[in-house]
Amino acid sequence: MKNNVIQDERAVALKRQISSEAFNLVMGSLVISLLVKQYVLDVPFSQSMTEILCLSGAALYVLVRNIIAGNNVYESKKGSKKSLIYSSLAGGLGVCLSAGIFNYAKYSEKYANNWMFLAILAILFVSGSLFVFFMYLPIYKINQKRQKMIANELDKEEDDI
Amino acid sequence: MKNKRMKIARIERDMKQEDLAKAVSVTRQTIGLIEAGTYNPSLNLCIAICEALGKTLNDLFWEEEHEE
Repeated sequence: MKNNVIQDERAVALKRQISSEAFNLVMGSLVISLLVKQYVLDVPFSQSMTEILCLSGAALYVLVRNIIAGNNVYESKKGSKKSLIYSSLAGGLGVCLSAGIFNYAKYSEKYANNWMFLAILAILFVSGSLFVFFMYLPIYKINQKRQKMIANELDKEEDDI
Repeated sequence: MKNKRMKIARIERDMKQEDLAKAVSVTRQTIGLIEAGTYNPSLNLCIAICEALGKTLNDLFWEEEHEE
């Protein structure tokens, strides 16, 4: 039986864009749900497992799929090594801010002075940055290896005309 | 189907894939895939490649089997 449905390339591209937007909306909603549960409703951590599993599963899929496809996930004008360091520092800042706010909301009356809280923030920032760095490092190595494999394949094809 | 004409035009200009990729703002991998015939570039990208190599769309992208 012949398929009479027209495969219009413009329509296909638009459908893909719509799916991509829907994915971003779902991811954003999961993040908001997680933040509300943790900081507003103060529910036990186990209650947020669905959001965490969906977010981490989706992030892992996007990362692995991009690396396998050959997209450079650390591509930037400043160079991939600097991008790794900036990502780690940004991650550390995120950890510092979110955990710092949570910490202040729960334990502010127990601090003798503001220096203790600043020391906590500094520890959070450093430990957060180091954690993110060591999480990103294997991804960076795998990405570099994949990029090198692709460059070698292209170099082989260069010699054939 | 491989795009040998594009590859030859690039070599005539003493350009590596990396050079052409930078000239048209894509990755080297994209240029490689276009030359290998496994990726269909957009019309805008085809035009940019033609301008970078000093050729016309017919020279690089018109398939010979369409000529009559």
